[in-house]
Formats: sequence, C-alpha cells, structure tokens
Amino acid sequence: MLILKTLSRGPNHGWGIAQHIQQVSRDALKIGEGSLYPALQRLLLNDFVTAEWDLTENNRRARYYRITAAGRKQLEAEKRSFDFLLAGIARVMETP
Amino acid sequence: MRLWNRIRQWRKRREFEAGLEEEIRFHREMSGVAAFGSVAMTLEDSRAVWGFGWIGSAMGDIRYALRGFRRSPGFALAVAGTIGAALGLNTTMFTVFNAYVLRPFAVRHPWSLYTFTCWNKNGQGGRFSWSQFQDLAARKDPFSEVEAEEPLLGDVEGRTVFGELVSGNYFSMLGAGVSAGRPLLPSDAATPGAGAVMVISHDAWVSRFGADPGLVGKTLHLRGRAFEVVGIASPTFRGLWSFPSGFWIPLSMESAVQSSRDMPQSSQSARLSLVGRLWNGVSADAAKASLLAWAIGYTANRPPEQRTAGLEFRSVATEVPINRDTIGPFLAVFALFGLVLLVACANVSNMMLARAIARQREIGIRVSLGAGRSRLIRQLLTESLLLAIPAAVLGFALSQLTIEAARFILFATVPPAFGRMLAVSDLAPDWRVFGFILLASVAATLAFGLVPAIQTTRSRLVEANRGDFSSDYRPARLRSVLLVTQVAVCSLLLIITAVVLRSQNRVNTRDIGLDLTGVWDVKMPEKHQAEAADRLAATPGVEVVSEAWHAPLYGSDRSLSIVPSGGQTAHVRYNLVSAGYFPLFRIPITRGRGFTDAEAEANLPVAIVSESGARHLWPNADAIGQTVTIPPVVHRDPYTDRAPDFHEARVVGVARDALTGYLANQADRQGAMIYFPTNQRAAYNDSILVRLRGAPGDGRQRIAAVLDGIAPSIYDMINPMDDVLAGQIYPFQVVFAVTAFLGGLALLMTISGIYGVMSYLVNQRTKEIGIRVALGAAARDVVKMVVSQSARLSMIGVGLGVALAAGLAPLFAHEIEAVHPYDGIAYAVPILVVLLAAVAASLAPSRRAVRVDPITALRCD
Repeated sequence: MLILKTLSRGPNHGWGIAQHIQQVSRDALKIGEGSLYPALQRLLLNDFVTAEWDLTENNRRARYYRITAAGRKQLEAEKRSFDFLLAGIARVMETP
Repeated sequence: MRLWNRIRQWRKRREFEAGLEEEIRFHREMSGVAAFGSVAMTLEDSRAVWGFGWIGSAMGDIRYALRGFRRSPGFALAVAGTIGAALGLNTTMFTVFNAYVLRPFAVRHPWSLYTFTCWNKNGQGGRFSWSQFQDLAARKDPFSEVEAEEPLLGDVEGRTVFGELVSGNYFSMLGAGVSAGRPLLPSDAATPGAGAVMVISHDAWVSRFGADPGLVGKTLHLRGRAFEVVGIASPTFRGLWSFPSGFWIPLSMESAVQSSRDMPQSSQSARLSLVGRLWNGVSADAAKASLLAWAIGYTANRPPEQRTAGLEFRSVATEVPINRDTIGPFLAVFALFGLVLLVACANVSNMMLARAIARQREIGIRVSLGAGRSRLIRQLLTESLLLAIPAAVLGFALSQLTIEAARFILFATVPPAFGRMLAVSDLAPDWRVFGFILLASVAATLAFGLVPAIQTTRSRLVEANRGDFSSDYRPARLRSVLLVTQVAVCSLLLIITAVVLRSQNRVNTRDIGLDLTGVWDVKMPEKHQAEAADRLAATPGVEVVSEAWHAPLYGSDRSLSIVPSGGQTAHVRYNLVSAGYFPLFRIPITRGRGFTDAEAEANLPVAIVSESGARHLWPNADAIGQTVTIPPVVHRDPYTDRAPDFHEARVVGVARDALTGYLANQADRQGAMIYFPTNQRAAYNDSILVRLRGAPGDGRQRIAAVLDGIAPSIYDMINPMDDVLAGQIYPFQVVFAVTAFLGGLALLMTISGIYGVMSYLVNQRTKEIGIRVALGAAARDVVKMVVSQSARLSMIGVGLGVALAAGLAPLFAHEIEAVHPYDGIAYAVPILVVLLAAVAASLAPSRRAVRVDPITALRCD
C-alpha cells in the first residue's frame, strides 16, 4: 500500500520509493531492500505496476516503477480496508 | 494474467536477474551504508515471488532422474516393463468395458433414448404389439418419437447374420446415416407385405460380403424371400443392442419372414421392442410414471392376469446399461486384473525401495546440505513419474496387441457353429481409453513410488551422514507387507484358476446320455418346416429326422407343473418331441415304448418320462400306464412356456436319463423329465433334428442343398450338435484361459519379487552372515535362515490368499452347479505351487549367502 501510494505521486525507482517513505514517515518506517524488492516483484506479477529503465537526475541507469490503473484500484481498496481496520483499533483503544 | 506474466518473465529470466542485481547495487550505493545482509538473499526472495524455483527444481529433478536411468538402464527397463505389462492388461480390460458400457451409441442424442418393458402380475410379458406401438407413437407422451424393432437371426445367402425388423422411422429417428445407398425410409414400411428392401451394416458388409462394392442394388435372400440391398449403414452404427446388428429390413415384411400373420392385424402377438426419444426436459422418473399409467390404461379391459402390473425403464445410450446387475460382473473381472497390477506395483515398489536404500548415502548428504524432506520426496516422485511415461506407452501398445490376439484366438477357438454368427463390438481406443491409461499409470506411479520415497527420507541426519542405516531404519516391515500381498494375490488367482479348471473337467467328462455325432440341428421358420422335414427324410444319407420344440443343450430346460396320478403337484422339466427324437439321439427306451408316428401326428395324449422322472413321480409304482394332469395355463409365450394341447396324458414309456439343458446347472442335471409328442405341422417347434450317415464334415452343405430346393436361404441356422455341446463348455475354457494367464503372470512376478527381495536382504546381511559363519554356522544353517524367512512370509501370504478365495466363494457358489468353490484339490495344488515357488526363488540368494567369506564380509567396512 505504501509503495503504491508513493508511486501514485509519479514514477520512481526502488531507492526513491524507500527514501520517500522514510522521509514522509519521519524515519518511523524504514524499508530495507530485503522487503522492498520482493514486494515490487509481487506488484509486477499482479500488474499493479510496470517497470522500465530510465536515467536518474544524476545520469544513472535505474528502473522506474509506474503505477497502473489496476494498481490505483488496488490502492483504493487497500486504503479502505486499512481505514476500516484503523478505525476499529481506535474504537477499541478509546473504550475505557 | 498472473500465469501469463510468470511465463513471460520466465522466458527473459537472465535479463531479469541482471536487472535486479543492478537495481539493488544502485540502491546500496545510494544509501551509502555498509551492506547489511546479502545481496543474494534479496535476489533469492525476489525470485521466489515469481515462482521460478519450482520450475527450476523440477527441471533439475528431471535431468537428474534421466542421468540416473542412464547409469542403471536395467533397473529402468525392469520397472517400465513390469508396470507396462500390468497396465496393458488393465487397459485391454478397460477397452472392452468402455466399448460395452461407457461409450454411447453413435446415434443422435443417445442419452435421450429409452426403452421399457411391461409385465403382468405373473412377471410375464415384455414385448409389445403393433397396435400398442401405434397407440404410444400417436400419444406423443412421454416420447417425442418411438421406433419399434424385432430381432431376427437369419441366414442371408449362406451367412448367419443377426438382424432386425424395424419400423420406418428407425433411421431418421436415430439419425443413423449410411455410407452407401440410402437408409430405410418410412415409405418402405408403409404397406404390410411390401418393402422388400434391406440395409446391411458396415461390419457385415466387410466381414460377410467381402466389402463387395457392388452390393447396393443386388438381391439377397432371407428366409426364402428376396430383398434388394438399398444401403450400407455408416461404419459407426450397429443398432441399439449389445449384439451388433448385421442388417435391417422394414417391419412391414414381418409376415414374409416370420410365421405369424401381418403385424397390424394381429394385435395379440406382442413381439416388438420399443425405443423412444424423451422430450427435452422430461425426467426419466416422470416418463416412467407416464408410461406406466399408459400401459395400465391400455390393458385395463383385459383379463386380470394380463394387465400390466409393473414396468422397467432404462436408457439405451450404451450397449450395456450401467446398473447394479451389469456392474457386478465387470467389477469382478476388473478386480482380477487390478490384482495383477497390484502385484506388479508391489514388485516395482520393492525394486524402488531397494534402490532408494542403496542411495541412502546420497540422500544423507543431501539432507545434511539442507534439502527438505518434501524436496527429496519430490525428487523421488519425479523419477517414478518419468518411469510411468514409457510404462504407459508400453501398456497401450500391449493392450492393442492383446485385443488383436484375443480377437484372433476367439475366432480360432470358438465352436464353428457360433463363430459363424459371432460379431464383436468395435474395440478401437478412444479418449476414454487414453484417459484411463493416463490415470492408471499415475495411480500406479504413486502406488509404487510414493511409499519408498516417504520411507527413505525418514532417516535421521546424523546416521545418514555416517552411512549407517541398518541400525534404526527398518524398511523391512514394508517389504514384508509387499511380499505377503504378492503371494496372497498370486495364490488367490491360482486357486480361482484351479477351481475353474476342475469345473470344466467336471462338465467335460459328464456322460450326457445323448449321441450327438452326426446330428444336425436346423432352425427355420415354421411355415416351411413340414416340407423341409419331408424332403430331408427322403434324402439319401439321412438316417432319422425329428421335430422338437427345443433342441437339447441350447440352455436350461423348460419346466412345468404337473400332477401325477396318485401324487402331489410336481415341477418337472419337459419337452415336446416327435417319434424320431429317441432313436435320433440314441436314447434307449428302457421300459414300455417310444412315441409312434401315428401318436405324434394325431397329438394323442401320451407321454414318456425319464428314469429318474419315473422314480420321482411314482416312487412306489410302475410308471407305465400312469397318467399326468397338466393344469391349464392362460396366455403364455410359446417360446418359453408351451403346454401340450391335452390336459391329461398317459405314460407309455420310460427313457434313459439324458442331460438336455445347461450342463453346469444343478436343476437340469437332476429331477424329472417328461416328453410329450409333437409333429412337423405343429406350431412353435424350434428345431428340426437330422441324423446323417457317413462323414459329418459336409453335413451342412448337404442339408443346405436340400433346403435351398424349397426356397433360397429359408433356414436360419444349421448347427452340428457337437458344436452346440462345445459351446456350453467354451465359456469355462475362456474363463480358465484368462485366469490361468493372469495367475501365471502373477506367479512369475511373485517369483521375481521374492528373488529380488531375498537377494537384497542377503546383501544387506552380509556382515551378519559373515559373523555367523565365523562363529561356526554351517552352510545348512545359513540356507535354512534365508529360506525360512521367505517361507514364513509366503505362508502368511498363502493363508491370506486362501482366506480371500474362501471369502469370495459364496459369490460364485450359486446357480452354476459345476463350480465347486470349496474344492479341496483346487486349493491344495495352487498352495503347493506357490510355496514351492517361494522356496525355489529364495534358493539362489541363499546359495550366495553360503558363499559369504567371513573375512571379506567383516572387512568390508
């Protein structure tokens, strides 16, 4: 979900995705390569993202991932169920 | 979609690997931190998402297994050969099952075709009259269309062919096509007595008429009538019964070929079978209820005992309907063949086990390098599956060979009188057969491959690495179970073989009290019988001619209830014969006299009883001069029940006992027999019997020549009585041949199985034997040790086999009297054979054990 959310702002490469999540969450969430790349493969397999090689701003070759229509739909669905879950947890925690 | 992605990715996997590696390297450089974890690990995890590992490892397994087979081709050949042989047998069996039970007829929508029979409260009936057929067809409920057919076994220009009289809509309703000419049309059957046309089946065209290209348009004679051949049916169509039909003629010709009057006029004669096509969406149950209502309504104004009381309704989509009665015999045969497959699997299982144990060290190394158990089982199963493929191919080839050979042997050995009319259903393999062999080979693979695979991977890491498996690891029990199973199955099959052989001998050696040599049975329609009998009697070389209601030995004797004078009602077997019957079969009249021609002609109320009949009916008095009363019976089928014209008859003679029914049947062998007179002009006589002088070889031609003088092809069959008798024994011979073949095969496999296992065990126990010898064991002790081990297992197996045979015996015990399922000798001989074989098979390994040199044996580790 986090990767899809990141990519919904525009195409990015693996390192960029990890950086973005880390910055936005203010270092609360650190994604290691060990979980990032397998996760990206899963997204590729399900056609939620596509990948192509491109040059970065420092003129390095990198694989850019781009979210697909199916990916956006999946993001919506996951966001909804996550919100639902979060609301549920919140209600349990708030009950004295 | 996912699968497609996966495949696309699999094809570019190298590129993918390189890309991924570069990506991760880039990631690391950017993060600038010292590398934690391994790149390979991340790579591995990413790859796992795509599921490549599975494909890769399967490929590896296959390559590895093939390499293994190349190293030990003998093993691979033995396994594939053994399973292939057993699979071949079972596929043969299934092909037959498929042809008769599973494959629907090649007609339009076979699954909507149904037939039905009605019976009255005495359980009689079954066929329908012409007016019933017309009524049901006009009713259009529950069938959209109905056709009528009547079987006919006739002689077409010297060739015995089974055919059918059919209603005009037969071909159009079934959607059966022709390969030449035209089918029968409704117009052919429109006028009674007209429509002398015939459609020949493709099989009959090939086998009986040599595929004569000019047959359409020719004229063929059947029962003295000329028929024009208008068409040859398409090769896949053989009628709707289990016996393939050779020709079809219009029902309107009934009067010309049958003895009775025309169909439409004779509303009482019920000889038609009806097949209807259900309307779409009408369930079988609803149709049955509707038919029963119709049948009851139709017969409501008849006398009570002729009213319909019940109805049987069944599908005619396949030759043999699938129900409890028909599945039983097929299951029994399947079980026999399945047992052979089981023995083969046990054998192969043992081989695999022995080989897997020999590979323990290899497996141990794999385990210690981190191979999971499931991974190892997968490897071993892959090997089994790879062996199953050639086994399936071999099995298929063998089954085709077996079918051809069996067909050849069948036609070569069947008594010629039956061979003349024999027709076998098409046994070409179809998708069901291929599906079966695929399933069976996979099942066999799992049976022989899975157990050893699980067994061998159970070993523990430390011991495995040490190469020490004999201490804790005990596959011996499994091996013993397999061996015992083999011996049990083998002895069961051999016991069945012996029981059948003994039954056959019993039937064979039975003195039937009839002299059959030189006697011919002529079956022909009634209307020509009198003339034929006269002409035959006047022919030089003919000794005696006799008419009989039924010729002997064609099946069970008919029986009826009579009341002997001064006695109680008795159930006796009976027949109606003319005066010539007793001299013809050389049945001596021991007391009194035979029928005179005058008595037979005038149908005088006289009777002759058999010797045992005389004892049974009048135990304390002389049978001659006694009378029997025949209670009146209404409406009977004259083919199965035909009372004489009188109700009281005087016994004039006593004849020597003779076996005239089914030889293997208890009821036909014992009990009373009573003969009533008949003559050549009487209706419903089935046979004219002729005794010829001189060489019997050309009897058929001589009789046929006389009969053709009346009209061409008026007879249906001319059978030598010797062949009729042989026909009764033939089924026993077939069952014996099949079980003997299976039993022999099982014995062979068992011997090789015992030999293999014992040799392996001796190899395993070399060290132990060496120690024993070093401690002073004599050669005799060593042999005894090995042989006793095999004998012990065999004894258990034989015990199981005998128990199984005795348990199955009740299934075979009823009805067929000649089969004695508890025959002591039939048990003893196979038991002895199996035990001897077991001992013999273990002798060679035990000799090897004797030669074990203690020094070498102890040094070998």
